[in-house]
Parts: sequence; structure tokens; C-alpha cells
Amino acid sequence: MKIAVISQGKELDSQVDPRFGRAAYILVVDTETMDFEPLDNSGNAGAFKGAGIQAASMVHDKGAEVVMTGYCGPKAFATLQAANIKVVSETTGTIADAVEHFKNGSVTYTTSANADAHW
Amino acid sequence: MALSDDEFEALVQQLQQNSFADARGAYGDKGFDRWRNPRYHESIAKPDGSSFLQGSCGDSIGISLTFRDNRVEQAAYRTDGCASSALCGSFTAELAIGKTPSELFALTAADVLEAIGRFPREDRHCATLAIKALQQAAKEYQRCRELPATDALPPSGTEQ
Repeated sequence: MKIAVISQGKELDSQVDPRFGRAAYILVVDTETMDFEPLDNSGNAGAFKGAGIQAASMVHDKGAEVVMTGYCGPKAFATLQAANIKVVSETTGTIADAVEHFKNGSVTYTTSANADAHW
Repeated sequence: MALSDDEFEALVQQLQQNSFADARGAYGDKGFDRWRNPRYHESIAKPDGSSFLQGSCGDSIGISLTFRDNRVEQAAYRTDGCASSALCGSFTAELAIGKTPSELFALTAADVLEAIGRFPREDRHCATLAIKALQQAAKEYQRCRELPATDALPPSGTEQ
């Protein structure tokens, strides 16, 4: 399955970016093959509108079923929920670490946003 | 229950509209309109001084300046941050135009917040970051032109 990890860079050894909408990249990783596609999020991050909503919409378009992030604001969370995408928040370390945690089953899905609304 | 693509798209549009309404409430008409139509958000090809500083929240603001006759001729900001960072960058650039370095060092975060008008209390650190970025750019200008530094050390105990 595909999971999307919010990233500061475009490699598996990049660090997770805690900021969902304003992160530089989103890595969509296939958990079986570890193939990955870095999505450039700078267009959303620099947009003068809801960055989280736009980033969540992009993740949906790429067919990811889970998002791993540090923070997730209420509007991004609502968008992901509507798209049936599960959210793991408070993710830290590298993208590879995050995927490993996910594959081990040692993650819990969050049921609410963990950051205030931001524009 | 999964939404169809059209339903999902409609929901995204609705959330975006709600978001705009909330942002207008948070920043007032003046701030909201500036955010949607940013001014001074451009790159200056050959700045006389520039900066890019990261704040405690992880967002960064940069200011670039050109000077003519020791006064700011052009000012621009960039940021990877939220609307609050963008607004503080834009209004800081606006306040800088026409000022000498000494006048730039006299500007404070309170001046930026006053220029914006309404602003979320929890984001006030963005104005401090924008002012720090401005003053770093001014210092770079003075250093490159080998001008004497005119930034005074803040009195001890002053909140930064």
C-alpha cells in the first residue's frame, strides 16, 4: 500500500517535516517495494491559501491510504478524513524510520487534529 | 463511506472557502487582502543586503534591500511560512522603504503589528522575526559598504 510521509527532503533518509501544509516535500512510499515518489509541495506551501487543504488533496490524488506527519491542522485533517486517509501524527526521524514503524505496526492512527488552524 | 471525486472536490472547495472566512476574521480586511494579493513578495536581483532567518516555530522569513543615497529604495520579503509570516514580511518591507539604516534599527515588531492592524496574538513572534530579518539585511548592507554600524545594542532586559 502507499503511504505519504511529510518530508524536509526528497530521499528516504530525509527528515520528517513536522509542518504538514508548509513542508517542502511529501514522499509517497510503496510499503511493499519501498519505491517512492517525492511530491514537490512548494507550490502548496507558498500558496496564498490553505496549504494544508491543498497538500491533503494532493496526497489523495496520489492514492495514498495513510499520512505520516508531525502536526496536522483541523482543515487538513478534515480533508484527509473525507478522502478516507488515515493520519499518524507526531512522527519524527527519517522517512525510512517512519515507514519502518508503520510496517512494524507500531503506529496509532489519530482521531483529531493536533495543531491549531493556520493560514 | 468513500466520497466520489466530485464530492471530494466540492468538500475541498468548501473547506477552502471556510478557511478564507476564518482568515479574514483573524487578520481583518486589510491583512486578508494583503495576504491574497501580496506586495513586496518578489526577488531582488542584486540586493545590497539580504537575510533569511528561521524562527522558533520552524518558519523562516528573509528580507532583501537595495539602497540609494543611504535610504532603502527597494524592499522584498520571502518566507516558507504561514500567512502570518507573509503578512509580517510584506508590511516590514513596506515600512522599510525610504528609511536609513538608523531608522530601520529603530523599527520594532510593534510597528509591524500596528501597520497590519488585526493579528492573531499567538503569531506575534512572526513580527519579531521579520524585524530581525530586516535588521540583519541592513547590517549586511553596512558591512558590505564598510559603513559604521549604527545598530544600538538593546537595553538589557528588553524583551526580544
